[in-house]
Amino acid sequence: MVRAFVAGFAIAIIAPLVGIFLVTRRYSFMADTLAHVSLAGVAGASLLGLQPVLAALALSITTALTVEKLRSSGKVLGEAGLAIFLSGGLALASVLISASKGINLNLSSVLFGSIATVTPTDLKLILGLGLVVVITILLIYRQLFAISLDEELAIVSGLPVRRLNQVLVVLAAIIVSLSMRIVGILLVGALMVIPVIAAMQFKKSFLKTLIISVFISVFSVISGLFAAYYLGWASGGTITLIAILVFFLSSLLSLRSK
Amino acid sequence: MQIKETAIKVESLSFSYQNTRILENVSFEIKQGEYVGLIGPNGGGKTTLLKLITGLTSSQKGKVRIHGLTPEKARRKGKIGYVPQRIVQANIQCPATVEEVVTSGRLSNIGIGGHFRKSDLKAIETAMLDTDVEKFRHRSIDDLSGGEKQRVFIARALASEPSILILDEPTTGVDMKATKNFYSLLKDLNQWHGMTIIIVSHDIEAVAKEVDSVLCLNRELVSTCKHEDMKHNSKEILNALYGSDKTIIHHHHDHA
Repeated sequence: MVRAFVAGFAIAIIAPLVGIFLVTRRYSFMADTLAHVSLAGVAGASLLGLQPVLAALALSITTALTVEKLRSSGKVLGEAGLAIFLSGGLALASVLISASKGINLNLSSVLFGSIATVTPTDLKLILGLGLVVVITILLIYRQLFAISLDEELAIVSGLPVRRLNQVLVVLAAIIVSLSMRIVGILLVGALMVIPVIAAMQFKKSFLKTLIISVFISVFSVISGLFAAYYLGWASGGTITLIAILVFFLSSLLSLRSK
Repeated sequence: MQIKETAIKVESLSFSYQNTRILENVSFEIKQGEYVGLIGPNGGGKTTLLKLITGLTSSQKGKVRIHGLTPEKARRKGKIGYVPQRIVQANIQCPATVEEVVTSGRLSNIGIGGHFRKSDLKAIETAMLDTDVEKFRHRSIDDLSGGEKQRVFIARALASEPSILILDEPTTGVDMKATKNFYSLLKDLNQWHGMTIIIVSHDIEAVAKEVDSVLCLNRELVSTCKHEDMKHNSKEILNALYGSDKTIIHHHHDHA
């Protein structure tokens, strides 16, 4: 239980840190796509006896870089590229799951999250890689903001936009792989996107929006984990429903303040 | 007599897209401190030419040099300020204050993880003061009018202290009073700061009145002329550009 709370707290902080840059670049479905690919990674790990989080991480980083390469080449529109990998990830996962006949794989906990499945190895990975995400975002925050505002303007300003985009999608892949234990693969995208959209309702500066979204995310995860623990509900679904509730409350508050 | 440095040199530039020739053997030179208008019909290659100068598009044939540098190197040194057309009209989805937008124009001066020095902060403040956006620095960019938003993005372009300012149809969607203020700002930047300016506009009369010289582009460079020539030979130039009889209809920008 303590492990789940520590892991949840760490994920709640890092998910909107990257999520805000995906949302403002209309790339919200990136997280969902990577989550579906991660499922294939987990299924493959179950079949081959590998560490599931690491297998999901390797597959989702490879996918993230491939999607970004396709998008930046202009050969496939961003969203269309995501659709191919989202379906492909799910298709591969279903084939691998059927091939492994469900050995070592609790499908419900992978899909919807379960606080009982966070292992000590998972916690070490979440804290270690979570720290990497926070430090990277602190280092390139201004540059990522400039790209979110307008990619062409950022290029003319002399920024290495292609490299920064690659770093962003790798960070997204890391968060998706780390979050799946807590919120589940089907709801990972929600944790990266909904707190950000809720914070955007207040129309503050980019930095304040980011800080508010982290608070909303932490509130949703901690209260969701409590509810899941005492009521026996799936943690991912509970956390997502609370985040959606906060979004509606934020919308109402922002309407009242106009 | 002082010989001015060449700011932009375009040599034998050709560009095709999907087997359609967009630019054909375009060559010209712009000296430091020149104020140049770029006019031509839709599809005449104006935006493509700007993208080649800024390096957003790589050249296929011919070359572009900015103060002797490739566009990529000039960008990294913060020498180019750019204001695209769509940014003024767009409903920007990114939450941002005016100050955050202007500050993002100064990033070529700091590396990854770097911090702004006093000189950087001063340049950002000066850019906001010159464009008169300092008074609403904490407002959200999406709450501004077209004219205000335009000034913010000019301030953003000025924050890197560029030697060249490039503007693509900047007065589209901006009211007459704001347009008049805008041209006055560009005049100041050109005359008092010696900035080289290239402006693409459909408002041929305004361009002819404001700039030192005009580049007339319709796939190839139809003519380059001083603004006095534009006044006297406007009919011939417009016919060559647009292919049929065109007349300038005069209007006044001060009827706000």
